[in-house]
Amino acid sequence: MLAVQIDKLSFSYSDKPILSGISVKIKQGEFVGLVGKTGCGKSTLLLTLNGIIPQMVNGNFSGTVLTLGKDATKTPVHELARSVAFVFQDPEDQIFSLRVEDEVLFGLSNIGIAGDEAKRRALEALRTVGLGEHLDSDPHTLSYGQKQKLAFACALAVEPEIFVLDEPVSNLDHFSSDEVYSILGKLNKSGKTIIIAEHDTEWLAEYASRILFLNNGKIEADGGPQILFDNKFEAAGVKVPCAVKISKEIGESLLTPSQLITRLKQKVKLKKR
Amino acid sequence: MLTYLQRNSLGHSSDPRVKIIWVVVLMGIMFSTRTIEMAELSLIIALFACVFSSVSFSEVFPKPRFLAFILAMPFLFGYFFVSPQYGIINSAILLSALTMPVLFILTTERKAIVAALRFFKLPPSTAFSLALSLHFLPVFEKKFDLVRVAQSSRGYSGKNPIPLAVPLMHSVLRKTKSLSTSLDARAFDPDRIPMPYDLKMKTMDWFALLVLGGLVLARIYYF
Repeated sequence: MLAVQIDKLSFSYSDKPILSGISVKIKQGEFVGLVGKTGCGKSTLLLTLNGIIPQMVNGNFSGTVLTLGKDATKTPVHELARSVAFVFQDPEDQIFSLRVEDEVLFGLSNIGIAGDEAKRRALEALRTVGLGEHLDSDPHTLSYGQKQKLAFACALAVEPEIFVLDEPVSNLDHFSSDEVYSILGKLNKSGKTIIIAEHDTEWLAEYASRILFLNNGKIEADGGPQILFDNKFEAAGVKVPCAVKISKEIGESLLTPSQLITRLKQKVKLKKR
Repeated sequence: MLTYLQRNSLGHSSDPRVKIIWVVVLMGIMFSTRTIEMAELSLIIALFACVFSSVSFSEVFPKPRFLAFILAMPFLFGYFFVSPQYGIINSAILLSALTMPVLFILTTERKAIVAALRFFKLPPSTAFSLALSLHFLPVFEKKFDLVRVAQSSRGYSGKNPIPLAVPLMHSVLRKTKSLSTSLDARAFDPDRIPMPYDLKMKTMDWFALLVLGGLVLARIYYF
């Protein structure tokens, strides 16, 4: 089954077009990176996946969005929340509980999971993101990075089929970003679909199996991470991975720093011989 | 969104002091009279105010469902506890009364509001704070939408306002703190800044006050 099927999707706020005639299919188990400069419509496109647009945001909407076969334009958002978990850029938009554990339990109670099962899931999710020691802490006293991890734990606990993340590591340090992406990588390997919007493609080059490039409300490129070598990404204001930049300079097509280092070591060895 | 709209209209070029007097006095008249004639007159005044300000009804009330909800409450109260006509009067007056301050915000620059409030002898810091709060209304409106969307994505659909109110309140406090810090960092002192806007009464402003005086007399002797 397809995780997401979007057909001729257009959306505009009053007279300002955001998305224009987007059609895309995402299979279950894919790790999709949605890239594009700020304001190109990435977040808007993500919000259509769980029905927030058009159900809660006013605007001119046309086209169809099927999420796991369900019409996302008509299925209630709280029902889609069982299978589509969203992680927003700013975790402070959602945190309201007085205990870290309660914050995770809130999302679970909304989808009808309570009691021991909810507690088990909450604990597991919090341990996964490294907040297992903070169950009783006040979420508002956590650092911003920890709050972002907490928001991620809230999504993990739901155990959804699709994870939708809107620039989830934009406020995290390198180490924490690495942690989040490695969790996402593991989830993806276990069959979960990951759809993530980023303007920094450093992590996507390593983890994503597919890149969608959104520009002026349209998908202008769709393919494997190798498409990041296309010059149009940089021209459109997308931050291309350093490894890709260096690779271009030395005439290689390597995406990640580790691949690049290995290749450079090989070259040095060859020269020495 | 509840923010200043830059346009060239009678409403925009009117003196901010006159607009404040109009809003305050008119709301006083409206809420002190519960007759069908006053309801009709209020709606006509609100309509003319929109026309003179070149602001459409959808710009004044961009969320019709929310407006309907607000108007339904006084209507139902009047309908069931007094009479159906009283319900209609309540809603019409409330609609007009909401229109006037919203129009004031949509047609008046922040510095003009500060100047007008200072003219009415409000301390400069209070005038600045009030005007700044108005300026930040759209920011908080947008934030509220973000919070609503974030909680709905987690399956929230209930009536409990806490999941919406707490993140919004935190956001407001954070914004206030960072704003005051940044103002302090730039050595801002509202008591020291000169009058930010040149207040000048024009012929149309005197005429507007005259019309308002007529309405006050009509309220005293007719309604």
